[in-house]
Amino acid sequence: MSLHPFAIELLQFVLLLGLAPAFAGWVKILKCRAQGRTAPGILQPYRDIRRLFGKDIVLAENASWIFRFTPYLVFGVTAVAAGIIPLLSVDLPLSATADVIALVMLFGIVRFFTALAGMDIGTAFGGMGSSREMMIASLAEPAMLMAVFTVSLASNSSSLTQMVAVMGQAEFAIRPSLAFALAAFIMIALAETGRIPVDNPATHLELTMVHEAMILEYSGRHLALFEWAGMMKLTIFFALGIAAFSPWGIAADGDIGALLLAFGLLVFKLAVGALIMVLIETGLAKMRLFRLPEYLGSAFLLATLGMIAFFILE
Amino acid sequence: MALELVSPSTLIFTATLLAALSGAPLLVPRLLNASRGQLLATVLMLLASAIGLTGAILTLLLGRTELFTLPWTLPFDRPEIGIDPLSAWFLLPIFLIPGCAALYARSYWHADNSPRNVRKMTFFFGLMSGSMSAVTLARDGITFLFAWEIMALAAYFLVATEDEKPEVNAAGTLYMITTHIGTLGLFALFPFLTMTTGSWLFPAAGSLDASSPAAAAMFLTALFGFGMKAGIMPLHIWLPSAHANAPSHVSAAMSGVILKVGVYGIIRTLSFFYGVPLWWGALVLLLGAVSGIVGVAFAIGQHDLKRLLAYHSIENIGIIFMGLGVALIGQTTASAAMVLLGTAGALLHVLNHATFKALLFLGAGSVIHATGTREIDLMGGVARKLPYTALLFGVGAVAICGLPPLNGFVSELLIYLGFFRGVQGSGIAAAATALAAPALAVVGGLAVACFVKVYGIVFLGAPRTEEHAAHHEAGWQMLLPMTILAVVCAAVGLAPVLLSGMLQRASLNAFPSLGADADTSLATLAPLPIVSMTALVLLVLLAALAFWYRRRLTAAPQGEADTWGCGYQRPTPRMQYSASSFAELLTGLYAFVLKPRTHRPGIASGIFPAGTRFHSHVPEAVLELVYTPALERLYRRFLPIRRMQNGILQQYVLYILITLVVLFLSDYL
Repeated sequence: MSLHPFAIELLQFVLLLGLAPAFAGWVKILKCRAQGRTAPGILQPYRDIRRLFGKDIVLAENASWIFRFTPYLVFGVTAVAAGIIPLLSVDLPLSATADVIALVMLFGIVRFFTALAGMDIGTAFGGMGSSREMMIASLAEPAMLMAVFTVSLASNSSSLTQMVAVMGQAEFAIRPSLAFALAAFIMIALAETGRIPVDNPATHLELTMVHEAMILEYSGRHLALFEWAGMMKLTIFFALGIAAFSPWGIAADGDIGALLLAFGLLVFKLAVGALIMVLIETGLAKMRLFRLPEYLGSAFLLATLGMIAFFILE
Repeated sequence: MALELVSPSTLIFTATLLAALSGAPLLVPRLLNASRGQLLATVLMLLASAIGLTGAILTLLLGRTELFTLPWTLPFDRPEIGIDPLSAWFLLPIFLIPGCAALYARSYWHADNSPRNVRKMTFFFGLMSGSMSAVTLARDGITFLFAWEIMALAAYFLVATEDEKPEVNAAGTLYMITTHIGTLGLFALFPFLTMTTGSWLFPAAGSLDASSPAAAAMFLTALFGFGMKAGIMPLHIWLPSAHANAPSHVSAAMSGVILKVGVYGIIRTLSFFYGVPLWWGALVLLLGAVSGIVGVAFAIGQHDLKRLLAYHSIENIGIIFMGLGVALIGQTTASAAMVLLGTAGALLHVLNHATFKALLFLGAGSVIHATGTREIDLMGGVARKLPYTALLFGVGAVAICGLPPLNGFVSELLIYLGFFRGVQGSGIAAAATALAAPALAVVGGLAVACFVKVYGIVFLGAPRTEEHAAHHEAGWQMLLPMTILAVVCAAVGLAPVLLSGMLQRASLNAFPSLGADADTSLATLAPLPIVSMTALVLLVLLAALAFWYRRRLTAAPQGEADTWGCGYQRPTPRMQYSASSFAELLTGLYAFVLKPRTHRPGIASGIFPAGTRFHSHVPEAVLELVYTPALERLYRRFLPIRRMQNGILQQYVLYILITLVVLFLSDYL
C-alpha cells in the first residue's frame, strides 16, 4: 500500500509541527546532562507552549500591525518550508529543482519580518538585534549556498530530492568534497539557528543577544508562535543536513513500510545529530560579535574548498 | 490572426509618437494654462501606455518580427525601424512605468504647486518616454543614435527640473558629462559594426563571428557605452546623484526604464554574434557580481532615501548582468539550458526591477512629500499616517529583496537555476558560475538587510523629529499607480507561467541558437508551476491566518505598555536605533570599498561638558577617490592645450576648416 504524494506532504507538516518541540526538549535534556544539571522532561517545550498560549498579550505602545502579524507569518512560512525538505520521502509535490534556494528565500522572509518587528516597537534593543541578525544572515546565506552547491556538484543534481535519491542509492564512501561541505554546513546551521558559538538562545544579556533582542517585546501566544517556529527551524536544519549528507533510508515513494522505516531512521538520526550539536555547544564559548565575520568566512572557505576538492580529486 | 484591424507594430508606432508629443501642447502657453495642459499630457501619456502595452503584448504573444524602411534618406542610409519580441519585451516597462509615473506626477508635481518648471518637465517627460521606445525600435545605427541622444538629452532636462538648486545642477552636469562619454563609446561601436558588415543596418541575429578582433572591440565599446547608461559598477558615478535630485516620478522612470534601455543595447549587440568566447561571459558575470555586491553595500551606508534606492538600481543591474553572463557562458559551452535560463532570468529581471523600483521610488516620493525631507534618520513612524503607502512600499521592498511570493524571487530563481546548470558543466565555466552563485546570495542577503533598515527606520517605530513627522496620506492619483505596480509585482510572482511563453520568444529572438534545440523550453527547465503553487500555499496560509487573527484574536484580551528600555523611565524617540547605527556593522564589514567617514569632534571634559555631535556618511567613493583625482591630474597635464579653446569664433572656424581639409586629404591618400 502506498500513500499519495499530497498525503505524504501533509504527514510531513504534521510530523514537523508535532515533533519539533520534542526534539527541542531532547536537545535541552542532553545539554543539561552535559552540563551536570537536572533536566526537565522531554515534554517541557509542549508545556511551555501551552502555558504561553494561555497568557494575555502585552503590546508595546508603538506596535503596528507588522508587530502583531509577524508571529503568524513566521509560523506559517516555517511550516511551508517544512514541506520542501524530504523528511520521510522524496515524492513531494512542493519539492522541485533548486528547492534549497526556495528554502533559503522562505527563511529570508521569516528573517525580514522578524527584523522589521524588532524595529517596529521603536527601541534600541530591537534595532540592535535586527542589525546583528542581518549582518550574520548576509554572511551565512552565501556560505550555505556554497555548501549546497558542493553537494549538488558531488551528486550531479540540482534539487534536494534528486540529491537524496542519488546519494541514497550510492554506496557509502568518504568523499573529501562532502566532508568539507558538511563541516561548512554545520558551522552555518549553528549560525542560522542561533546556537552557540554565534548566538545563545538562553541569554537575555543586551551585549550578546541577537535573535532574542528582536523578539524581546513579544509575550503570550505571539511568543509561543515564535518559540514553536524556532523549534521547527532547528528541526528543519537538522533534516536538511540529514537529507544532504546522510540520506540513507529516506523513502523513494509513498510505500507505507518504507515510510515507517524512514520515520524510525529519522528519529534515530535526529537524536544522534542533537548529541553532536550539544557536544559542540558545550565545548565552545560564545564568540564575540565582531569575530563572527571570521567564523562565517571560514565556513564559506570550507565550502569552497569542498568544491575545489571535487574538481581536483573526484 | 487573419482578421486583424490594426497590426501590433502600428499600435506601437502610434503610442511612441503619442508619448513623445504628449507634452507638446504645453509649450504654447497661450494655448492652454499649465494645469489643463498637464491634465491633457497625462491623459495622452496614459493613452500611449495603454496602446503601446497592447501592441507589445500582442507582438510577444504572436512572436512576430516586422521591419519597415522609412521613406526618407539620411546622409548615410535609409533608416529602418522594426519590431520583434526582444524589443517588445523591453517595451513592456517602457510603456508601463512612464504611464504610471505620469499619473503620479499629476498630483506629486501638480502645475499649481510648481508653475516654474511644470511645462518643461511634462514636455521632456513625454519626449523621453517616446524616445526610449524609439531606441528599441531602431534597426540601423544612425536612427538608433538619434533616438539615443534625444532620450539622453530629455533625461538631462528632467534631472535638472529644479535647476535653481545648485546640487540639482551639479547632478545634471555630472549626468550630462557621463552620458556623453558613454555615447562616445557608441560612436565607436557603430562604425566598427559598419566596417564589419558594410552597412549601417543592424545585422541579423547570430550572423557575426565573435572570435575576430573587431568583434572584441565591438563587445568592449558596447559594454562601455551601454554600461555607462545602465549604471554598471565602475561606470555608475552619475546615477546616485541624478536619481536623488530628480523629481521622484522621474527617478522612477529613469531607474525603472532608462537603465534598461542600456541593457537593451547590450543584449541587442550581443545578439549579433555567434561563437562567443568564454572571456565575454566571464567578464559580464564578473561585472555583474561586482555591481551587485558593491552597489548594495553602498546602498546600506546611505542616509538619503532616494540615493539609497539609486544604489539598489546598480545592484539590480548587476543581477541582470549576472543573468546575461550565464547566458554567454552557456553559448560558449553550448548549453542551451544555461542560455535560456540566463537570458530569461535577465529579461524577467528587467521587467521586475522596473516595476518594483518604480514602485519604491513613487513610494519614496509620497514619503518625502509627507515628511518634507529625504534624510532617513529624521523620519520614523510614517506607517501610522500613511498606511497605504506603507503597505505598497512594503510590497516593493519584499519584491526587491527577491523573496517569495513576489516577482523578484522568480527572476533570481531563474538565474540561480542557470548557475546550477553551469556548475554541472566542466572547467573554468563551471568554476565561474559556481563562484557567482554565492555572490548572488550575498547580494540577496545585503538587500534584505538594507530594506529592513529602510522600512524599519522610515515606516516603523516613532517619529524621530517633530518637524518631519508625516501628516497626510498621498492622494489617489499617487496611490493608484503604485497599486498597479504592486499588482504587477504580485501577479508575476504568483503566476510566472503567464510570462514564460513571451520570455521564451524574446530569449529566442536574442539568441537564435536556442532554436536549434527544440527540447529547451522554459516550462521544462524551470519549475514555474511549483513556484506558483508554493506562492499560493503561502498566500492562502497567510490569508487564513490573517482571517483567524481578525475574527478571533483581536477580541482576545491584550494589554498595552511602554516599550521596555532596560528600565529607563523616560524613553524618547531619539533613543531608537538610527539608520547609521543599524548599518554600522555592515558598513564596517565592507569598509575597504565604502571608505565611510566619521566626524567626531570629541566630548569636552570638565564639569559641564558642552554638547557634541557625531556624524558618519558613506561617500561616492569611486567618484571621489578614483575619478576626480585622476581627472584632475589629466586636467593639469593638458592645461597648455586648453589655450586652443580661447573663445574666439574665427579661430574655431579655422579649426573646422583644417579638420575638413585633413579629412579630404586623408580620403585621397
